Amino acid sequence: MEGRRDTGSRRWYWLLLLPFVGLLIPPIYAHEDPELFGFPFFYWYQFAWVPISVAITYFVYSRTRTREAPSGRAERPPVEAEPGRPTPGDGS
Amino acid sequence: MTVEHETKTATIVVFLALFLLVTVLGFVAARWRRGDLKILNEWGLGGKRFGTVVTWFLLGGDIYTAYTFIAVPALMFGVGAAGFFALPYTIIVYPLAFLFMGRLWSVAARKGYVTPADFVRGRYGSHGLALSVAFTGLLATMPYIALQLIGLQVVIEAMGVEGDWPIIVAFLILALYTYNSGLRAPALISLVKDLSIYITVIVAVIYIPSKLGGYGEIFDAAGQALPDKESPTGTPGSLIPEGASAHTAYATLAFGSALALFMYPHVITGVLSSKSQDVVRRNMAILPAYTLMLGLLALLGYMAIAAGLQIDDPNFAVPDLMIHYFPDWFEGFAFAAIGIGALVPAAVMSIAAANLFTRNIYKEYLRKDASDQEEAQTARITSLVVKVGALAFVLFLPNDYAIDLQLLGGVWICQTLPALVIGLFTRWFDRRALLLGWFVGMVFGTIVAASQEFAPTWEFLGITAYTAIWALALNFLISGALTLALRSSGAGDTADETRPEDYDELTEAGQPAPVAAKTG
Repeated sequence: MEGRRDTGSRRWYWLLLLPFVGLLIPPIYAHEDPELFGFPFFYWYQFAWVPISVAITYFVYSRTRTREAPSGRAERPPVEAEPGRPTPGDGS
Repeated sequence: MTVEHETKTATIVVFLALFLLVTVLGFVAARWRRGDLKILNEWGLGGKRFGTVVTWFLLGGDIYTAYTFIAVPALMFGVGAAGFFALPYTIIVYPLAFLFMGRLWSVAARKGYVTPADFVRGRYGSHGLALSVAFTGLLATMPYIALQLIGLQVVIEAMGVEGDWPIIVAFLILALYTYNSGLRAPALISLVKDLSIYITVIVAVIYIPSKLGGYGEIFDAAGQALPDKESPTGTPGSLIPEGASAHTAYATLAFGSALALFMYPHVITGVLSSKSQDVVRRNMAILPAYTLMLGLLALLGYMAIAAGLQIDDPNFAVPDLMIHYFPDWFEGFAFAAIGIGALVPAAVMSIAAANLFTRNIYKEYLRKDASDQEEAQTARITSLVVKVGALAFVLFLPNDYAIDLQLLGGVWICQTLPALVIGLFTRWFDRRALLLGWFVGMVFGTIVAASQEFAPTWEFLGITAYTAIWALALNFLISGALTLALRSSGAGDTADETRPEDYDELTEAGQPAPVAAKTG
């Protein structure tokens, strides 16, 4: 059942765990020091995660995109192939 | 010092001019990317033709609402760091949604699902479970719309206009163009809303700190003032969350809110209206641009402290700060931006709730043979009714902190997670077990919330956590145990109209995604 190509690209999904680890354990960052531009650590640390999380998500997105996968996929879903189709739903 | 809420001509003129502009846009939207608005797919999902940019604006308008502009800064003003959980919440929500929203889009596109309940019915072959998802969606949306109403009310009052009539007028206009144009209206208005919000935020976070002596001074002032403040639960405010219970509350509020967000019908509507799974996934990577804005807006609560403003109702923290620092005309501009920022999501929420009611209650139980036109017409009328329901929440629940309304909605909507989100990855749970788990979670969550006077966290076994997480844990426990029990007693449960390849544009048939376990 394992698709060879997919297993490779799917590993990237694990990267998405990083923002959770970085942000859901407040003892890591609930401190006042070091300050940066007047912002206590607690605040700038969390702000810093916005661009980091964007970078991670975008990276995973680009790595798991179908269009960038090697060609020759026989069963490309019809919807993917015709993105402009107005009313999907005749599939059932 | 106290801030006077007086009526100033320049403020009112600019405010009304912007409101007039979006009202016109709201009606014009009916002709944009023209489609037959007598069909639900066109009225309620904009014909599923929105690309990356429109989806970005629409989802941005959906997610960053009066919650962002009024409720979060109010919480920061009143209790300090505890309110900042909104930032980690709106960061982690995207990697989370990245994992499952693409799958939902794909299966919805292949099977013609318009609502989350459509999916659950198809996946589990259970009308009861679908009804539970539809009911929860409708219920949870109302306090969320109520939050928008409060946001609108606050800016109107801040302009010195008394009474309920301006809200009623604003909602009538909203109702009319929603009825007329469907999802196209908020999608188009989102563009104007975002532009004006961004201008307001950039001016506010540069100009106001320059008057207050910089961010260092603002944090110092907040750090000094916060310990003297008291949250509704009696704990003092603080600049940095201290102690285990503050930490667990912070983390679970962020996590629970993130779990909840993409199950709300209005956010799912925004996602399903986009034209491909690729658009959905790309948006999960670029939407956090708004999160920076949310974080900066949150700090306006501290600026209100640093400015020494005497504010009785914390919901006025942002408007009063703007009155204090901005010239009259820009105050009108900023208030209009906030007001429109409340109306856009309110429109999408009422549309999504209307889609749910029409597809999963009206057509399912009341008129099975409803035609397409009838379906769209019912949705239009329901979108009006839902707004009245939201008014009830404003009138009958305590709303010192408007955010508590949104968090109450989160307690409810989280109870659909096992059926909806886990269902996107695995069909392991038994439909009857899910239904019972949902029921117990709903009842338990509501009782706990009510017993706390709708404060969002609850302490159990020495751990303070967001009520939604406790209720969800109980829900999982029951769903899991009962599934195992039913399985061992040999009770069959096989109906599933979807196939594995319906979910993913990336994988071959039959592969469960490796990420399923993380989502819970």
